[in-house]
Amino acid sequence: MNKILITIALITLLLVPTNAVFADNVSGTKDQGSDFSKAYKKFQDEQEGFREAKDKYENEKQEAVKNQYIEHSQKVLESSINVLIKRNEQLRKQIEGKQNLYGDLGKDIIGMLDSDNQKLDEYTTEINSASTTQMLSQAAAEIKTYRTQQQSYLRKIVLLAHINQYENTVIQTAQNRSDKLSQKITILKNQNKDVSGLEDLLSQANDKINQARQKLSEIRDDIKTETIDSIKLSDIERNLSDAQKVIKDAYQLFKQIAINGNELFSKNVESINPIILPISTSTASSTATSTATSTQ
Amino acid sequence: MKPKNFKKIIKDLEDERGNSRVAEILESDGEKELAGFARFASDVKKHIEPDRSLMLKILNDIPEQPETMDNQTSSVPITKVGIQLHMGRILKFVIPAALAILIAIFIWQNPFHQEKSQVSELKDITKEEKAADQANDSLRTYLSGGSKNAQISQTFGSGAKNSNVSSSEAAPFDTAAITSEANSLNFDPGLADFITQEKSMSAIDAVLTNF
Repeated sequence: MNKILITIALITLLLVPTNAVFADNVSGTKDQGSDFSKAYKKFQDEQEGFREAKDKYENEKQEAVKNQYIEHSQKVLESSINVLIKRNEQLRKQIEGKQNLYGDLGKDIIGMLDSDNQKLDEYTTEINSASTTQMLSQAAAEIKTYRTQQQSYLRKIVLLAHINQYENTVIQTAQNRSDKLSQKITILKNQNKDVSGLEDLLSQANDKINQARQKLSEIRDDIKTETIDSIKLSDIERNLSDAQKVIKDAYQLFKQIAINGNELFSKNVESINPIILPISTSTASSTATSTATSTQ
Repeated sequence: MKPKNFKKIIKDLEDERGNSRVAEILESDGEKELAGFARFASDVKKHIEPDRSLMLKILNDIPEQPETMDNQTSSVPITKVGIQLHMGRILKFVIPAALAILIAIFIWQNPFHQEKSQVSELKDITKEEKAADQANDSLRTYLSGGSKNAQISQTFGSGAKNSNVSSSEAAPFDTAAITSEANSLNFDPGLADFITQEKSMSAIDAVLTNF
């Protein structure tokens, strides 16, 4: 019995969707089993060894320590490049699995990632053949420059693809829902019902949709014009989360409109029932049955 | 013949082998008919090998049916023996044939098929009832949206000729659809993964910068 309960609890936990869209943890901790995570863990270890070797070399300035410093420098640079390669591979898989999201951009991004990995392999060779701290510093500077250019472009293209997809699916669905609700309200209005409350709620919901659109438009402009470093990335993440919350608010209003609207519908039926029910129940049923039969 | 005589004969036969010897014993005790049957059985043995126990079984049966023995001295045992003698054929041909016929009847009649068609019929009925309920709701909504009894009689009389609002348009607000859409308002999870992954790259940038 206990085993069954535990199994059900585990399945439930797995199925419960997380509302947090933007997790606080880094992907290294979120996706422990991936190649990227393993590469990132190795990089962190090498980074620690490199710091110690560097401090020791700067303090002692001895030849024996220098060799250790060079060795650790090579390792940390190599592990950095490995992280970048694994990141590219992981992103490539994501893009391949989401053609509908990236569309034609997907091929461009994949091409870019493949080319990027070739370049990173070349840097690995350069690092392994470096024998002085100067050569390693130069290699690190080259990688840094290349990465700044490449990462900004890659980040822009991926973020824009996601924003476009959100607008074309979620925002558009919200707009369609608003239109449908508007039609229903018009029907009630034609029946001389007081729909002012519903209209007010719908107006608020439409404002929310427009706010979300505006927010996404601003983020898109920001992405196009700015360099996407880590700080900018955090800003974008926050703004996207805000836009998402605004759409959720719009849906809360939609729900309220539906509840209030249905109350108006039911009141309508109840007010007529005392007059027509004795006749309509049987007649309506037979009419409905014949209609249903004819449509079969 | 009295039953006790048979018991004596049976006892005499306990250790004997072969129907020919049985026939001799029966003949010596004055049971010519049974002796003749024993010889007949001996002939049949060539084909189906009725053994001595078969004969003993027949003899055991006779004392239990004295009346039958008087009137139908040989017919009853012969019928029984006949069945037992043909048991091989029965097992070989009759039972398989009977099974084949049963299977054929089963396939022809197919109770599962009948059950299936009954379930299908029930489904159709449920479907029709559901459609009827929906139509009923739609009609009610239409009636509630129309203007009083004139429209009601018009509807029942000549159909909804002047209806401005169709039943589907007049249906209540679809709360289920709204709830369903409300559950899909998040960005693609790949975006969160990408951002968190990119954030973790700052450590690499720091190493490259401070090299």
